[in-house]
Amino acid sequence: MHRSGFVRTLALSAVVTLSLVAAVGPRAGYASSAAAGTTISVAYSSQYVFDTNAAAPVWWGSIKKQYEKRYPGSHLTLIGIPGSDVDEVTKLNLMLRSASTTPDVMQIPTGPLGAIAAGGYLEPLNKYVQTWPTWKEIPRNVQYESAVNGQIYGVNNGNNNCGLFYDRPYFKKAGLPTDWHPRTWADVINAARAIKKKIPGVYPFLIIAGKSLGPISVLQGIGNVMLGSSQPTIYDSKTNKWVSSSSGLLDTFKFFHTLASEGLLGPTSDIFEPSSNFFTDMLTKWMPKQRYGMAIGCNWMPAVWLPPSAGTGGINWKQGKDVWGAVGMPTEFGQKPGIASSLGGWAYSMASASKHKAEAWNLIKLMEESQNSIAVANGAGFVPPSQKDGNSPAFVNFLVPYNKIFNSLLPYSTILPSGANYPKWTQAMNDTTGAMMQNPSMSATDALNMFNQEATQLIGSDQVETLK
Amino acid sequence: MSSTSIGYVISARPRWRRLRWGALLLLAPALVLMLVFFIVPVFDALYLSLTNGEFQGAHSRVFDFIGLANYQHMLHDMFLGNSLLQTAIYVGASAIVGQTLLGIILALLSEQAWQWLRLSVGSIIVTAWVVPQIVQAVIWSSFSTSGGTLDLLLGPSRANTNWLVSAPMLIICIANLWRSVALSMLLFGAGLRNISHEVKEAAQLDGASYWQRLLYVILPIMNPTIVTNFILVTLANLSDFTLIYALTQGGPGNATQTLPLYIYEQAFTYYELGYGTAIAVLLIAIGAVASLIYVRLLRAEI
Repeated sequence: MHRSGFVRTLALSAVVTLSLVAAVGPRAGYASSAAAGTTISVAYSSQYVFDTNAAAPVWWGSIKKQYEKRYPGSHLTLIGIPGSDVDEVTKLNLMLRSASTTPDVMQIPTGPLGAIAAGGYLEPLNKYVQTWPTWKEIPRNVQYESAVNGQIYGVNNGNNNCGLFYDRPYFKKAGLPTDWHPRTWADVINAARAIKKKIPGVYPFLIIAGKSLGPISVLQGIGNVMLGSSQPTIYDSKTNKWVSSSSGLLDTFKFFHTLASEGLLGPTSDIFEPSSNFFTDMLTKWMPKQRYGMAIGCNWMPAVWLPPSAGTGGINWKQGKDVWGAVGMPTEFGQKPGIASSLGGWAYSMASASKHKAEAWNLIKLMEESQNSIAVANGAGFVPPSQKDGNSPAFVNFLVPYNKIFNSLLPYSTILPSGANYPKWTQAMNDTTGAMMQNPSMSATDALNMFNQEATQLIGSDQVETLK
Repeated sequence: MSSTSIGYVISARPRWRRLRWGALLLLAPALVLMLVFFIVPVFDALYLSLTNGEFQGAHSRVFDFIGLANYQHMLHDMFLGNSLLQTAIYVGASAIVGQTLLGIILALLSEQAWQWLRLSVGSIIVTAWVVPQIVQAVIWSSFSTSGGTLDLLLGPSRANTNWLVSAPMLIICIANLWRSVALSMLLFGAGLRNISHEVKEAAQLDGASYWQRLLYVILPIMNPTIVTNFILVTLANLSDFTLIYALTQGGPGNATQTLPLYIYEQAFTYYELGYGTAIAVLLIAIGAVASLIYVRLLRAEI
C-alpha cells in the first residue's frame, strides 16, 4: 500500500517538475538569424539621442539596410535601449558582464566611457583609425575625446557644446545690449542683476544644478562656468589626480553663491525636476514663455523650436531665433581664450570581447560617413566630428543661426575628462550645487569644503589633489 | 512507516527510508526557488559587500576582496546618516504610529457601523491598497503637484505650490498611510471579532465606560494582533521603494532618500556595487533586529 503510494507521489512530482521546467524553459536570447555570414550587434540609446523617438528607428533602420547591402550575407542586429542616457549606460554595463550578451558595437556617452574602458570592456581603436581617411578631418581635441592614456576607446559620433542664451526683448527692456558679448563673469552677474531689478516676475538666470539630471548636469550646466575659471583643471594629467579643491573651484562656487543668494536663480521646483520632464519643460515652456532672462544651454536645444517638418519634434516657435540670442560663456576675467564651453557627446566603441572586430570596424566607418553623420547631427542636435561635415551647407542651414554659432565655439570647447572617476567627480559637484540651491546662504567656502570632502570620499584620498 | 508501540513489531527499515521522500520531492520546487531567489542572493550580497565591486569602472570585471572597508566607509558617510533619519521618520511616523492608530480607529468604527457603510468604505480603503504602487504614485503626484487637487482645495493663496518640493516627506508619509492602512484595518478587524462577547459584557456590567473597556479590556486582549501588525508594517515599509522613487526620486536633494533609495543610488546610479550591498546588509540587519524585538514582545504575551 505504502509503496504504490510512494510511486504515485514520485510520478506526480516528476510530471509537475518537468512541466514547470518546460514552461519556464530556455528563452531565445538576442535574436540572431541563422543565415550564413557573420552577424554583429550594435547597442544604442533609442530614446535619448535623437530629438524625437520616431527618428531613431529611421536612422538605425537605414544603417542596417546600408550595412547589409554593402556586405552581402552579413546581418546587423539592432539593440535599442530605451530611457535616458543613464538608463542606457546602466543597461550596457549589465550587458557587458557576460560575453554572450555583449554587443559588438556600442554607442556610449563620452562621460562614462573612460570608466567603462577601465573595466577592460572596450577595444583600443588606435590601429584602426590610423588607416581611416576621415580621421584626419576630425580636430585633435575631438579625436582624443574618448582616449585614456593615449588609447582611443571610442570614435566620436557627435558632440554637444554649450553657451549662454539671452532673451533679447528683456535685455532691451533692462537697458542691456541686444547683441551681447559678455567678456567676464562680472558682466554676466551684472546682467542678471539688471534683469532682476528692471523686470520683476522673471527669473534672471537658468543653470542646471543638483543631481536630477545625472552626470550631464556638469556638461550642460556648471561645467561651462568652471572651465572658464582661472584654474579650470578638473583632472591633472601630470599627476593623474582629480582636483578636489582649487581656486578655480572656489571662484566657481562664489559665482554660483552670488546667483543663489541674490535670488537670481529659478525655483528649486524647476531645477530639481526629474530628467524626463526637465528639458521638455525648459524648451517648450520656460524659454518660449520667457520665464527666464538668461540660460546656460547647448547647441541641440534650439532645434526644439523648428517646425515639425524638420524631424526634430519641434514646436514650430518661429520667434525663437529672434527672442533668444546665443553667445559663448565668457571666462572669469576675460583671460584667453575668452570663451569657455564644455564639450561632450557620444562615441561608438567596439567591445573587446567581440568575435567580429573587423566587421564591427566596418560598421563604425559606415556610421561615420557624411550622409549618416550629418543626418545624426541634425536629427539629434550634435556638432559632427568631421570639420568637413560641420562646414557643409546641409548642417549649417539646418538650424540658423545656432548651428553656425555653436560650430564656431567648437575650437574653444574643452572636453570634460573621460577617466574612470569622472562620474564620481560629477556626483560631488551635483550634490554641492544642489545643496547651494536648497540653501542659498551656503557660502562658497562651505561649498568648497563640502565638495572637497565628498570628492575625496568618493574618489579616494590618494587620487585627489588640491591645486592653487 | 515506522511505529513504536508496545505489542507491535518495530519497523526494521533504515533511517533514510523512513523519510517522507514523496513530500520532499513535492517541496523541492519551492525549496529550489527559495534557495535561488532568497538564500543564494543574501549570501551573494554578503560576499559582494566585502569587495570593491563596481558596475562600471576599473573594478567591474574583477573584484578585489577588501574586507570590512565598506562598513568602515559607512561610519564616515555623510549621506548615510540622513538616510537612516529619513527611514526612521518614514517607518516610525507613517507606518508604526500612523498606520497602527488609524487602523485601530477604522476597525473600531467599522465594528459599530452599518453594514452598507462598512462594506463601501472598506472596499474603497482596500482598493487603495491593491492598486499597483505606480498607480498610487501617479495619483499622489497629480494630487500634490502645483495646480493639483491639493492646491485647489487649499484655495488661491496656496496655488502653484508644488508640495512634493515644499513638504516632500509629509506627502510621502500621508500617501503611504493612505494606501497601507487597509492591512492594519483588516488585521485589527479580525482581532476585534475574536474577542469574546462575554468579556465585553462582563466589563460593561461592572460599570466600565467605553473608553475604560477599550483601554483595559479590548486592547490588552488584542496585544498579539497589535504586535503582529507592528512586525508586518515595519518589515513591509522598511524596504519600500517604488512609491517614494516614483514621487520624488529621493529628492529634492536628499530630503526623502530613505535607505532603499540610497542603496539604489549607490548601486545603480553611481555603480558602487560593493558599497551598495554593504548598505543593503545594514538594512537586512535593521529588519532582523526589529523582528527580534517584536518576537520577544509577542512571546512575552503568550
